[in-house]
Amino acid sequence: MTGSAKFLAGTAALIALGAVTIFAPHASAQGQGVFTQDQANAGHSAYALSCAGCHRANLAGGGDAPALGGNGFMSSFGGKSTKDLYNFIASSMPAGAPGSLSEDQYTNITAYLLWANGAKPGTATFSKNTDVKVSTIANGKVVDDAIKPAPMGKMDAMEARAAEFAPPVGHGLDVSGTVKNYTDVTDEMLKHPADGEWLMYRRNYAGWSFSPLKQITPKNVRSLTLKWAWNMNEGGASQVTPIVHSGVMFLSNTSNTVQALDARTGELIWENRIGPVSKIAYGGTRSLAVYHDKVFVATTDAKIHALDARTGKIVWEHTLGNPNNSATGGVMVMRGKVLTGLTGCDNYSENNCYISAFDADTGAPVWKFHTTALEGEPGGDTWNGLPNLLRGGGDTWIAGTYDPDLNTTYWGVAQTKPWFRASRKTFGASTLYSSSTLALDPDTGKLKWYFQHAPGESLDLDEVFERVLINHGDQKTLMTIGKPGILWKLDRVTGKFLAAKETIFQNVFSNIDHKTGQVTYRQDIIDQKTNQWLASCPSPEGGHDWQATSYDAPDDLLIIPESQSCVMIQGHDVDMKLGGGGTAASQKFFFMPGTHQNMGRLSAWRTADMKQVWTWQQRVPFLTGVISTAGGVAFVGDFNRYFKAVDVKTGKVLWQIRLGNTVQGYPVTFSLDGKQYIAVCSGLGGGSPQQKPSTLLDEIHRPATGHVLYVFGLPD
Amino acid sequence: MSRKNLFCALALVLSAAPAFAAGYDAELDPVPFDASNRATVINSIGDASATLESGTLTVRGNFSNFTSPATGGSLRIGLAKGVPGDAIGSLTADHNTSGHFSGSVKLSSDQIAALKKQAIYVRIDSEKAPDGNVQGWLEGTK
Repeated sequence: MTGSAKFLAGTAALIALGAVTIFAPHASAQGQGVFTQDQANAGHSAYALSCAGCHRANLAGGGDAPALGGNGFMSSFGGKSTKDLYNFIASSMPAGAPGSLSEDQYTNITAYLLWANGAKPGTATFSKNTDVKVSTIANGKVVDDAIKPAPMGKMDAMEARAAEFAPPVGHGLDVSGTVKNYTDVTDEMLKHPADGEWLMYRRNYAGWSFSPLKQITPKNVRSLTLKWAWNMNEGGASQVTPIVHSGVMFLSNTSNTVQALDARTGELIWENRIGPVSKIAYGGTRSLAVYHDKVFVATTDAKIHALDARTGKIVWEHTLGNPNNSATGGVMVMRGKVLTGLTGCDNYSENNCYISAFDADTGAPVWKFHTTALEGEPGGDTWNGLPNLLRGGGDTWIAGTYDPDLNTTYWGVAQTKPWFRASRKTFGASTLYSSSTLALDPDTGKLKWYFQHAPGESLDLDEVFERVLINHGDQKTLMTIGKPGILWKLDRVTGKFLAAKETIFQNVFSNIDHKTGQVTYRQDIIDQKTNQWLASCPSPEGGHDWQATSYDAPDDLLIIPESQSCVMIQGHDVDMKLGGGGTAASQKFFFMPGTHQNMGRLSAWRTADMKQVWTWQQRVPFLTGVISTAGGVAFVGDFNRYFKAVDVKTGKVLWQIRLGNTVQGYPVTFSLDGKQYIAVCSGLGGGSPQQKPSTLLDEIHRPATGHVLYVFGLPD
Repeated sequence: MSRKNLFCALALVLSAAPAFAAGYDAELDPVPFDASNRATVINSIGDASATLESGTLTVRGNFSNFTSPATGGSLRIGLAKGVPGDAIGSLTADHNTSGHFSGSVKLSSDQIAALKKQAIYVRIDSEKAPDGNVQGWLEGTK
């Protein structure tokens, strides 16, 4: 080739390259696809395996996972390029294991999402360098075939995903045995638990998480040693409370497995893998309950089961919701009834969220109370006229407490879904009974009173967590703290507001009326529109989240695990139809100003006068509830694997040990043969309390597995 | 009181000048991020101190661990601490991945009120993060 020919050829090549660069977007806009149907199909299966657990098979999103279909997708990605979309997915997904898929899987998933949202396939192969504005090829009209079960050989892809995380044995009662010396649990035992036992979620009906055991003290706590450990199911979210009775520890695992272990030795007595393996990411079963001769568990597929406590055999079971629902908030037994809430009420459904009660012995349904007030019912006119179908949310993420003297059970209710009032079109409506405390008659489910802490909440800052019952002289009070970090005190006889204290920095409320408890939102929150970024401190991590407080009765101290982070949050337009809705928001994270990037805070507040007694902060947040003991020691675990003992009176850290993974769940203490033990789990999985530190704390590295139960005691 | 004593007393009062020059400081943390800008900003950090004197806020500070050179900065106002908002003045910054920044901005009475409410913040930008690399809200020096 001559010099001039080389020049011409080179020029032609450059022109051709330029043509590709310049005209590829235009060509796409004319309908020539930037991915193939094969890529989209492969991406469909990959999505089902790695993404649908959070974002759902119908792309509607759920929990902290935004919608990836329809308006939600276009709001988030319509203005970005396919390259941005690819990079976003490849660098941040799957949640908890970013970058863990192959490049092919990421390109296929990106192709699938484009196809699912109306982009036409073609002959071009999508790559990580394909750079086309998403809105020029996708229109947000979800393709029916894209939300049908993905083909994967003979197995539905969702089933295949479940199989990936399946425990090594099949479902059912796979280990048979009999608990010897089991004594039936009576109402009196639940009212006045024996010192050495842990019979329910927060140990007593008042929700104190306080044990009268006092063998472990500030003086000897440094000598705690590991007595035994037990590996638990992996996968899902492990946030469990061991229940201890008659020398037996009843333990819930992820994928809805219940075990009975000898609490002295860790020997397995029976195991029932009820199943299913969790398909929804937020698969924690936070607490079991025991009563008479049964163990009760609410499962991630929204069912409640009664097992024979001696053998683990299923005695009765009931379905609570639909396949998108779950029941992870734990169960409580009172007056012969099993009470449980419902979770996973993100998407528009004909099955509005509720609390329900069943006869403990027979399983007969007794009552149901809808936590989203329905049309024509009291409170039903607070939804800006929305039909019942569009009344999402109202989940109950932690089981309620109970006052036997008042025969009243107290429950917190989560926020409305979608999170943004502009998304759900409720605007200034209060949307009862979201973000409220409910006082219910446990016999009938009748509402005695309610107090709505955050009317019309719209930043995923709900007030749903534990209700702690504390008497101040003759005054019967209820204390609670939610994601905004405001400590509330109510009269639990009447529901009257008594006091509120901001325990950490918040910028969501511009005012709290200290006579009525009425909050005023920041003006831009009131004026919100969809697709507009709003700042929120705290972030949806809380403030305070499901990691429950402990009430140290001798010192009148409520010990509160708190988190410090902020977000910019943007609500999206949603499809207002069956299956639509979802949480429908995107988030950007940032450290809470003034915290020097310390995300964890542990504080003790005296409840009589609502004064802070001690507080300290640390880099990582706490991922367990707190327990306190009459020995003057409290226990709490954190994201960076430390399990800590602190002096109840001063907050000083007395002892700590590093476990195999994040210390997560609800520690308990019990005694056998005169010896006090502390049990705690390490665990992974969950929503904002896992997601925020995983993203903000760049230097923290954790193993990919590690659901383990540890039992500590003093040396023999 | 003699003239000399009066002068001494006046000097004593003036020596308590901090009453007229209020001090503020801020820690600078990464701006809000998601997966698209996390790697750019996650490890960036800085600090700022400021003095308000006769209605002028003079700001100085440091930044470090940027992934690209700083391009400048701004003093900004939001509805509250932790709420981003509009620029009310410019800051100059070293064109480097670590360095110093400074600037002075005359504040209106409303802006001074916002400063006292901790609604004024510093933002430093960089080549890879033109809409902000680090930010921090000014708080009264304790």
